[in-house]
Formats: sequence, structure tokens, C-alpha cells
Amino acid sequence: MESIITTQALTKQYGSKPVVRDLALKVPPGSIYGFLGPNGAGKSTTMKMLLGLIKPTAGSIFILGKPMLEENRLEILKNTGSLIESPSYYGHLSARENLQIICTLKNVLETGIDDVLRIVRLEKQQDKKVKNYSLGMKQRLGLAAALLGHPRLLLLDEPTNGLDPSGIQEMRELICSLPGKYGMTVLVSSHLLSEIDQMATHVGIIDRGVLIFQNDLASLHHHSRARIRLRTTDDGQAFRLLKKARLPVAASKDGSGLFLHSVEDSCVLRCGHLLTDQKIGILRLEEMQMSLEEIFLNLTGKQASL
Amino acid sequence: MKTIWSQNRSAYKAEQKKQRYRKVWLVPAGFLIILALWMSVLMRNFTAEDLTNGYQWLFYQLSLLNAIFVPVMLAVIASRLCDMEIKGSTFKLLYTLEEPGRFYDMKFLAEVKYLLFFSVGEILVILLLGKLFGISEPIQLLPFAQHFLAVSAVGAVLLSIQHLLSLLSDNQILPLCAGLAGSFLGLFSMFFPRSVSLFIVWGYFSIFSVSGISWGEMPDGADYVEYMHYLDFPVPGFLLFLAAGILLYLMEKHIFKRKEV
Repeated sequence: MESIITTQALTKQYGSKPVVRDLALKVPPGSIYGFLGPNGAGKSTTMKMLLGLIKPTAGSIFILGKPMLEENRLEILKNTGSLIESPSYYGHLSARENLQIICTLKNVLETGIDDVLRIVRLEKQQDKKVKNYSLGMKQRLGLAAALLGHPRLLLLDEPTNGLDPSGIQEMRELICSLPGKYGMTVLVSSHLLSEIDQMATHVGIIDRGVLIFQNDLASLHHHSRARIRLRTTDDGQAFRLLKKARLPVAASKDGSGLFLHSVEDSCVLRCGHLLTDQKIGILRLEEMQMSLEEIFLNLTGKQASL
Repeated sequence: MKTIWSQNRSAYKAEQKKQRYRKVWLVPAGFLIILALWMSVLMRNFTAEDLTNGYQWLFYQLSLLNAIFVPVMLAVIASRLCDMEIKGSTFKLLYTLEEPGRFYDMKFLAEVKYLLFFSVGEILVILLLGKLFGISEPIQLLPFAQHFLAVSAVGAVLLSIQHLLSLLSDNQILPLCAGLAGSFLGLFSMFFPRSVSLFIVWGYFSIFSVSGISWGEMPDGADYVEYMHYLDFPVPGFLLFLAAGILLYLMEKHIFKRKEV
């Protein structure tokens, strides 16, 4: 199977306002696909359409190689687990009792409950009423419910929302282990770029309903333009000298030095010769990759973490 | 067919599991106790003559009291069983596990269980009061069966309205107020002209009452109990009411299914 999720021209419109436009998602099997975008970009709407919770205005969805239609939606979703926005739970019941209800509806054996509680580390609190859980514990219960029946595909919408740093790290480690240990494919959406950077193998960036980037994470990093950061004993003169020599130089906005927008050996060598010939001392010369945040900012024009 | 049956069974079993610790049975039980006590207070000064029409009197009084109490009871039952879904934000999970239509039906069936508990309970209350106060009127099965059918059918239609309101409302105050308003409407509809009261569903407890009073034949100052008698059950009207109730339920279900998560 080339892609475990494929969408073609997927569109959702509310009135005349398009929320998702012509989305062509391709989620490779066995990947952790980071679905990135600022708030209001259309991530949750897309995930709800994938699960059939809302009807697309146009386009098609294929999950596990099958077209997602009203007639076979639940049959396909038997092989998926999901955690959309906030966790779903019955507060007056314990974690175990909540999961028993899911087992009944999913038609899976209740023996799997011990496994998923162990995976999310809720074994010790399983008999406590969920209304008394912290948000982090509720999120883990939501993940446990999604894992019941060992689905092939997991859709997680902002699973680290509301978690403290240790909770975020725990959730991240858990998600990273799923493809290797259980053969699952994970589609995880987030507005936290740093989280996706540490978790995902593939990335799709959505902005204002449009998919503006989709590839593996390495490609995203590779597309970042490397440059040379330069600090001299006289940055002003150095800038004028290099500019006159038609080298691709720019001053840093915070006045901390200069940037040479080329990492070619010949360019760096010429820069060095020009500066030393004019007796301008070179204090720092370092190669820099654009951070994922800078890439995101370039692509979307927005701050990466909102 | 077998798959649909097993899916329905699983969905209903899940609804049963959700009701743990909710003690919803206390609601109809509580109302039955209130009705029994109310009737007991009214019956404590019954004469031997009054007791010869005892069951007719009970059916008549309970039809009036049902119009007041049952809408509130049903609002509480529906609210108690539906608010767990609202509070827990469960629709987005449930709809990946079962069809919204099936969820709606099974949740309604779970609520109807308590309505039937009340209907059967009311019959038992009548029999118990008959035993306690020594009602001398012979027990006729038909009025008991008709009373059970009337309370269950009218209750089911009202419950379907409360069911939809409770599932659509983020705050259960709205459906509870609707139940209370229905009580008042049902009570006052008895004073409206027949052509108007037929359109007020909360008033059907009295419309389908199995006993009534011939007010026109009663002279001033006479004891109304003497003019009490069993009424012919309006079978065509009842069947029409059932058909309208089913249509109303299907419309309500359609409204619910259209709501996006």
C-alpha cells in the first residue's frame, strides 16, 4: 500500500467560507505523520472529515486502500483509533469501566484493557473515577481508548494539549514507540513545531485550509537554506566591502553580525580573502541551517508556536 | 439482519454499562412514592360507597396527576442519561464506533426502560392502594391494560421530545425547564376547548384517561364519585396518536443526525 491515507481534492466549506481547500494528503504506512499548522488552519476539520464526523463539501478520502463512504465508514474505522481535540470520557465511571464500554462497541475482548492501560501507564489509577483525573491522565485515557483493538491507524489531534512538560515528553515517547512496537501508522496534528520535529517522520503543513508542504521531515530540513554567519572587527566596513564585490551578504537584524547567503566554497574563500586583504579581522565564521521555525515562518508568514 | 441485531445488542449493552452508579431508577421510584402518598392522603376519608368506585377514582386522579408529574419525571430521566454524553464530549468518539442513528435509538430505549418501570409501578400502586384501603370494586383487567398503554404511549412521545432536547443542549437547564413548562401546559390544556387540547401532547394523559365523570348529568352539590364511570377507550384516536408519535420520533432523529460533531 503506497499510502495508508489518501485524499483527493478534499474540501470543506461553511457557507461561502472555505475551511479546507483541495487537500491532497498522502500518509505513508508505518510513518508518524506530523500535520502542522497554526490555529484555525483546518487541521481538526481535516481529521474530522477523515473520520467521517463531518461531511466534506467535495473530494474523496481513501483509508487503508478503501474509499471512505457512508456504507463502509464504520467497517474501515474498526482498524483506526482516534483522539480528537479534548478526550472523551464518562466522568462517573473509572478508566477500566470507560474502556469496557469501548470494548463493547468495538466488539473486542476486554482482555486488551490491561495492555492499553499498561502502555499509557494508568494501571495504578484505573479504578479511580475519571472526573477526578488530571487533564494529562484524561489525555492518556483517551489514547488508551484509541489503542484498544490494536488499530493499524491512529489519528491524534493535538494530543499534548494542556499537558505539562513531563506529560508532553511522555506522550511524545509513547507516540514515537507505536510504529516500531505495534506496527501502527500515526497521524498527529499539532501547532507545536518543536513537538512535530522530535516525533514525526513525515510532515504536512497546512495554512488557511491549503496544504503548502508535504514530504518527509528530512526534506523539510534539507530545504532550509544554509548560510554563513560572520562576525568581524568592523562589520560595517566588511558589509560595504562584500556588497561592492557583489557577494550575497546581508546584515543581521539584531546587529550581531553579517549573513553570507551562500555556502559554496569559492564564495566563502573569496569573502575571507577580501576581508583579510583589507585587514578586517574575522571573529566568527559559522555555517547555519534555517531552523524549522524559520522555515515554518517563511512558509506561513506566522509565528510557529501560537 | 443478524449483523444489525448484534450491532443493536452491543449498542444497548454499552448504554446499560454507561448507567452504572447513576441510580436513574430512583427517579420513577420517587415519583411513584409521591403518587402513592398523595392518593393515600386523598383516600383516607373514603366512605364505603366511595370504595365501590375506588379503581375508577384512582384512574381518574392519576390521569390528572400524571399530566403534572410525568413530564418532569421524563425530563429528569432523559437529562440524567444524556448529560453524561455532553459533559464527557463523547460524540466524537462514539460516532467512530457506532452510527449516530443507532446511538440515538439505543439511548432512547434505555430511557424507555424507566418509563415502563413507572407505568408498571403505577399499576402496582393502584392495586396496592386497593388492597390497603379495601376497594370493593371488582378488578377489571381491561382498564388496567388501557391505563398502562395510555401512560406508556403518551410518556414515550413526551420522552422523545425530552430525549432530543437533552442531546442537543449543552446545558440541561433548558430541557428541564421544557419539562416543567410541559407539565403546566398539560394541566391547563384540560380547560381548553377540545379542538385546541388535541394539539397539546402533554394533555393526552387526560384525553386517554380510562375513567371520567359525567359532569353534564351531575346535579349541583352532588358527590362526583357517584357519576364516575369507565370510558370507552378511543382506539382509532389512540392508533392515530401512536402513528403521529412515531413520525415525531423519526423527525427528531433526523434533526439529531444532521448535527455535526
